[in-house]
Amino acid sequence: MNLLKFHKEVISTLMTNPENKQVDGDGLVIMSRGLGIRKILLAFLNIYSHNKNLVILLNTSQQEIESLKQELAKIQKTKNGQSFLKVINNETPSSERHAIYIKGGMLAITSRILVVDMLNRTIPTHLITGFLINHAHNITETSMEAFILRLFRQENKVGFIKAFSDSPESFIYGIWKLEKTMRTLFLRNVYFWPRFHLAVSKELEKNSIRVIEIRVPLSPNMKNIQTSLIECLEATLLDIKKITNYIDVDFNIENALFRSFDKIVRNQLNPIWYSISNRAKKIVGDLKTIRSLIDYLLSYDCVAFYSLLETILAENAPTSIFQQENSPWLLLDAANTVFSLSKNRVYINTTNPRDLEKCKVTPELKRLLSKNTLPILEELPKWKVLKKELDPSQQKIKIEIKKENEEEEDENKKILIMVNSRRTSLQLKMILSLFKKNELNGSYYLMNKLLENYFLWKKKLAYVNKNPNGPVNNDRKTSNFQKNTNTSKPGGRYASLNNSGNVGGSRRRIRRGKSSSNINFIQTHISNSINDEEKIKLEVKNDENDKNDNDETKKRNEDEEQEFGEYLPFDIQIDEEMENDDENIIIREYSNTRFLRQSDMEDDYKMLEDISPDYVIIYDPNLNFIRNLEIYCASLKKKKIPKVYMLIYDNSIEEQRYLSQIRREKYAFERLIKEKSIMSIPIDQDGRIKLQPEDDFWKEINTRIAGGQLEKGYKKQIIVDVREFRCSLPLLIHTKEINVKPCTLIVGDYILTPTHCVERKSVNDLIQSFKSGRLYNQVESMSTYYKQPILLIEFNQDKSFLLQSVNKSEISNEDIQSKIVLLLLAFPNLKILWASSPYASSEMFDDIKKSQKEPDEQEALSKGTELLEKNNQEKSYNPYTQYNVTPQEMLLSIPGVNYKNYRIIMNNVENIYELSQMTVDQLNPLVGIESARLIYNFFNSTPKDKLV
Amino acid sequence: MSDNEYLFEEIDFEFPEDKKRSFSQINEQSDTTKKQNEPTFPIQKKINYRTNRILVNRCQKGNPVLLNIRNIAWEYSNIIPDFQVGETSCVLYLSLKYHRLHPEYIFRRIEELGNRYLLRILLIFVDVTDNQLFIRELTKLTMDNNITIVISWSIEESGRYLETFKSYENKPPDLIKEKVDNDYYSKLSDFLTQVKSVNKTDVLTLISNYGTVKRIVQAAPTSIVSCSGFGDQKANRLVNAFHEPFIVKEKK
Repeated sequence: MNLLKFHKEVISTLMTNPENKQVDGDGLVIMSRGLGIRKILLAFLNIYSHNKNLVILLNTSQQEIESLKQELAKIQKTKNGQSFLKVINNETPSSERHAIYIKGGMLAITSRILVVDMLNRTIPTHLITGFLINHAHNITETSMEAFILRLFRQENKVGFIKAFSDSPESFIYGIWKLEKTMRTLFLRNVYFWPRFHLAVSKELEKNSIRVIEIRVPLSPNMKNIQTSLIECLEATLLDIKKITNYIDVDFNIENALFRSFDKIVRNQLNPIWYSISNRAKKIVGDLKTIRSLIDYLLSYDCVAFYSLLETILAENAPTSIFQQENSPWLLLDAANTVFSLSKNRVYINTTNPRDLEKCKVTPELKRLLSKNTLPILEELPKWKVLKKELDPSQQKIKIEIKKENEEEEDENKKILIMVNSRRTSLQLKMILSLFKKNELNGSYYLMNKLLENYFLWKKKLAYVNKNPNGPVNNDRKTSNFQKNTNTSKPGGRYASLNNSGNVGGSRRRIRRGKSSSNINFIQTHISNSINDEEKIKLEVKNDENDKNDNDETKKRNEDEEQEFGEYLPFDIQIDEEMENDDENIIIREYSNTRFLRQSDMEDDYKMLEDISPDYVIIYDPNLNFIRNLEIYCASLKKKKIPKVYMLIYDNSIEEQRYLSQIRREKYAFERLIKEKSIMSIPIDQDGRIKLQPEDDFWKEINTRIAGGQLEKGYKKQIIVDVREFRCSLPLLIHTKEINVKPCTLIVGDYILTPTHCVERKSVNDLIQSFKSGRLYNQVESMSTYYKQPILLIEFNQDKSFLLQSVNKSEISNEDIQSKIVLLLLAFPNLKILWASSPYASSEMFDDIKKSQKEPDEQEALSKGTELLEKNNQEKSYNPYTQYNVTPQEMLLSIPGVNYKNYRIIMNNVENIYELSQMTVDQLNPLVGIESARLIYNFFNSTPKDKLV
Repeated sequence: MSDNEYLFEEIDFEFPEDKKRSFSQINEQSDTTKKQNEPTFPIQKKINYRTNRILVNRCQKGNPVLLNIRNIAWEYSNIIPDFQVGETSCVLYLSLKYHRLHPEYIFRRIEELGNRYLLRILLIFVDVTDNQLFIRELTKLTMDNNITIVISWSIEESGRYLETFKSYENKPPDLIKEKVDNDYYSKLSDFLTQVKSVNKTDVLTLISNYGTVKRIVQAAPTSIVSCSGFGDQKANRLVNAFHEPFIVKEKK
């Protein structure tokens, strides 16, 4: 492992020093992004991975653990590739966990499981050597990690806590976030390692890299779209301000560019979220949409960008399948500019026959084009630049290779291209490989292919977007008809919708009309064209050379499939050849955006080391990567430093964002350093000092026995369902000096006393489970088994203590209030606890428990088992079986699946994929013929069927 | 409305010490009617005739919530609780502002109520900002007295609750039970939006590109990435959700 000098310094500040008692090995390290916090974490993992230690790594995702494990294995060079980092997650059986803990070593544990184990005393807390906490900025006072550390410090005063974070920006939001985080982590020391730290900059400047910045100008269309989108963003924000007059964000473009901007707006609206109108909510959502559109403008090709716009439009159209509020920004003039310009980037309508003749398209596309459509197919400016850049460098390489010994293939000059997403990387691969084969214009075929797919997709969208239920349908058909006959008579439906008299709206209407006429054209055209297939194939053969020919026929075959099997996905077909095409040019995504393949989950730095490129082209600017590159170069010592090109759109959002990212990080550090200088840290914040003996005494007094007699070992107890450990309430119950006993409960979430059983619902849960009918079932089973069923409606602390406001004059079935009334009428015995926050819930629990008996674990576990057996005869219920949440929820929303049969399905079917492959006959024995048919139809019917 | 409310409180102020008289006797007029009615309707008995009106205790006269009962007729009657919203259900009404001034009032009313009625509601109108302590206290009180708390945040909402209790009196709970909903698109978007960060635009993109749900489920991540609006992370989440087993497998 190549550690730089300053890395070693960081590590030494965090190590226990036997000579200096002041340093106890605790601390929070906040480092600039990309400076190698991961290296430091790895170093610690390496140091502590010995069986005599029991060190726990927290707050690390599964993928990250995997990649850490691999790297660790390389460092340690242990046999069989087995590293000392052991993983404990929901797949580790509880019976084996104890043995693993006793054995010791370096463990990465899912927080939820560790909490349960600590509470159940499966893990010997007093023996834990220490904790390593990754991504410390994510930890809040109510998170699981905070609970773990609380439990840890209660029993263990010796172990260390080391926390790491590479996001200084996160610590400056809110009031005293840094101080709060340190308190939650039981830390008294914080160390900052910004890029401008003397030790860091000295080290990196020794061997600095030269970056050649290539400023790519935006095409005029793109520039205009970008300005218009920003205009839309501005208008949308003004709208929000008008509606709520509650928001206080200093709106400037710089703020709006960051992902966190939505979050800030959302956070400010949170306290009144339930009371603002649907329209306002929609507008807040639009903010995000527009911001991502700005991103996509720079990274998507023109066809994809336009089809995304079309989808957004379709979602908001009056005929949309989702009948909902319309996004107001779509009615702006600026939005109209966006739509028309991005259409112009794809194709234009012209009547000039000369233009039409001039334009060259692939024959497949030609078939799909309507008479007056002229494809423009604007390329992304960066593509051209990339080609130009690669050309000379490749030639250079070729010359060099000739000079050198040709046998040594490793000596090839490697070009590394860094991109933002898998999508871009795939497209670049295609462009480059096409470019190599075809000396002409590399992206020509790709773009034609894309447009072709676009027209096919348009046709499908038209089917989907016809609402089979509404009366709107007919209206739309007739208005379509009107447009096809080219009467510019405004369709009544649209006109009434855009009654604001906005010009933009009507202009767009015409455009839409035209594109729908395209669809009709395609529909008729396709059936004719199949016969011409052979002819065109011959033409193709004449035109192309052999190699391209194969390629084309391949595409052609795909094409046929696409037409015959009407609904094949449009996606970029990648040839195997292209996939493996990395002799010299390697295209990689940044590690922080890479998710798709697990084996790919490696650090940028690691990748640089592995590839050791001679040229690096930064296709999308990324601060993290540049820092990694710096460190890589610094550790290279005498080897040759790679030449770095950076492509950046001139005067674009991309450029702005890159620059302000650097600025913000610097600002964050400056503020944190200032904050640290005035922070007051209590001496006992590290939790290492023992509690006052008096407190221990009071805890042991039992109020239930007359006069508060002392009873050793007595403690109040609440039985909590293990699934509830996702939320913060168990932690807060524990802070009330009540024992939390985790169990897998069938009935209820919390058992307070032998008679009181609580089902907890957050407001969103409440709405959801009313809708699905689950709440009714849950309350029903609670009332069967417990004398006093209780529904806890828990509001979010940051959100308002409010249900939806009543604004309709009639009693409505949809209102949450009506549903509560129905529930109470059905279960008069049900009590409701209204808690404004988890804190309030824990207080109420405490109140209810006073002068009541303690619940019995065995009894609570046994309740409801017969209920399950009745419904689930096929497989006996195993209380330790755990289900994955998301697939389970998805399963339940499939028609034909209900609470009676979903467990049967889950026990007999592997996953949703398998379910989708099953036939009615296979489903029948599980759920019965009727449900089987419903499930089958859900997976296999097309939107077209729904129209009939 | 606030004027009305004030009136309501003031009426009470006139007889603060008169603890032996029931709250409903504050108004002199009601006093006389009560005396007339007493032989026919002894107050201890539940008024047992079927009615499709909400019965209101006379002590609620001047309560602005009455102005907000619009969809259901109501009439004054001699009942023990504040409102009788069904044959076996009753409502006690409490504004937290009032409770703050007269904390003993609700204790007396609950005591009077005894254990009459099957469904006993304490409708709390939250009109003070610092409400958590009151709600906690009232929760404790009602838990011991078998009363369910319902909280409303506005006078309109309080009125709506009273209306709804009455008009749903005989309504079966089918609305909140599991039901078979056959609306394809709402089911479809329910199904797909269970995956984090997938929104309705994405649902539309997916179904228009792939045609059937089966094809969406089968799609490879690389194919989904090429749909507009899908980044690596979202595509990966989606595919994971399709392929993640229902049951968490335990390693052996």
